[in-house]
Amino acid sequence: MSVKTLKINGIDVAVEAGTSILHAAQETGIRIPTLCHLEGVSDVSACRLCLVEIKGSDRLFPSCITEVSEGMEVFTHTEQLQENRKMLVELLFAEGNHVCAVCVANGNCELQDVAIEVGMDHTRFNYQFPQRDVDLSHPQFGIDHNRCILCTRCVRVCAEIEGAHVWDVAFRGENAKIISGLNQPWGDVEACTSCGKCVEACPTGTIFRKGSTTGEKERDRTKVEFLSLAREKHQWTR
Amino acid sequence: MGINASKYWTLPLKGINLGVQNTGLIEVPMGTTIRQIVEQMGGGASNQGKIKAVQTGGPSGGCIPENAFDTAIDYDSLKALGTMMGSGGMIVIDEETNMVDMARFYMEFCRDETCGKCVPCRTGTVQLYQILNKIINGEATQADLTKLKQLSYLVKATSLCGLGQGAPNPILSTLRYFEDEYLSLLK
Repeated sequence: MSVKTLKINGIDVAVEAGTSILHAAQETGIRIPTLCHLEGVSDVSACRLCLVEIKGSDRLFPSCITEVSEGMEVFTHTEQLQENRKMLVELLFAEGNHVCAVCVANGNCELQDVAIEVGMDHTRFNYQFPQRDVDLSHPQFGIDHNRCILCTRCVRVCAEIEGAHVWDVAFRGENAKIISGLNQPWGDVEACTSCGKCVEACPTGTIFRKGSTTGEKERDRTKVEFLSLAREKHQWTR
Repeated sequence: MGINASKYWTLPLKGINLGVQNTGLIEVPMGTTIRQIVEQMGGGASNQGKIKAVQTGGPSGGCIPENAFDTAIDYDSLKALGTMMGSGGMIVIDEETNMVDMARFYMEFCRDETCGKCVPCRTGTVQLYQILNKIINGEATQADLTKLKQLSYLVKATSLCGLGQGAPNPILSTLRYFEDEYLSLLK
């Protein structure tokens, strides 16, 4: 096992080769905001919140998919990066219909947490007020597309861990949408095992358990992490 | 030099007056100046008009103002001017064309072409297009122009692929050379 040494925000860090900058920073006690990264599934670097600066390059690097290298000097919270993150969160809030006051995830929402973390108090951009629908055809769960930020965690958790691949992304650009099955109502998709991993993985209140009301969605992220990492950690009992 | 010839073609911009008399596909050696292409091969301005700029590199490229037409074309010189070789396309723009309108045309293209995977490109192109619309409709203020610049830099710096990274180029380059056209449209 080879070890790489690098500096993150001036702090010397030694981590295993192949570790992502995001994980290396976590080990150092530095939290880099992210909305699309989920432990145990592949990374897509789509939210662009985890971008960091690396000395010697004028490009920004997504820390979730960039591996550490020897002698690397990483900066995670420069003024420019903070401003970028704030604008990105503002863009997300302007894009969907995010009304915290009536959302099941209020108080337990990663989008909300990141907004607070980056210091966003309003959005300077135009609210788009898109026409999006709510699918309540599944007996146990519901999906409210108004709250979706297209992080695709549900897609990955369903395809990579459950192996059912119920979710996917359809259409493009501003019309991109998470779909179940072949763009069918969720309840009609026979591949769905009703495991609820997508509910646990969703960072916002988009996918929820039926019957929960404002602020009642609580996530047990340890469950998803157990399911995704138990094989590596040999925690399966049989 | 590995490549000593590159293809260029001049073509009319959709809905905007034709800039030069001759259009079509031409092939010129690297190092030819823009003025040679526009005036000798293109035959100069059509309709008694005056040429004010050329747009190179397609929707992700940028414009070059008339006072820089003596630049010899190669990859580095175009980059220094804030544009690029890109697809090799060259669009000649005459004085009747509004540069803000042209930037909007390209932004509309990028808004339609974005795949939607990453946040800055998916939502940023939509917002940029709307701000440009607001400017053209005469409803924008200085604050909108500031927002346009901030968002252009964000989309360029944080997008995942070349489409998003290049999408704000027409705005940034028209702002660089023709900011007065933006300012004259503000409230």
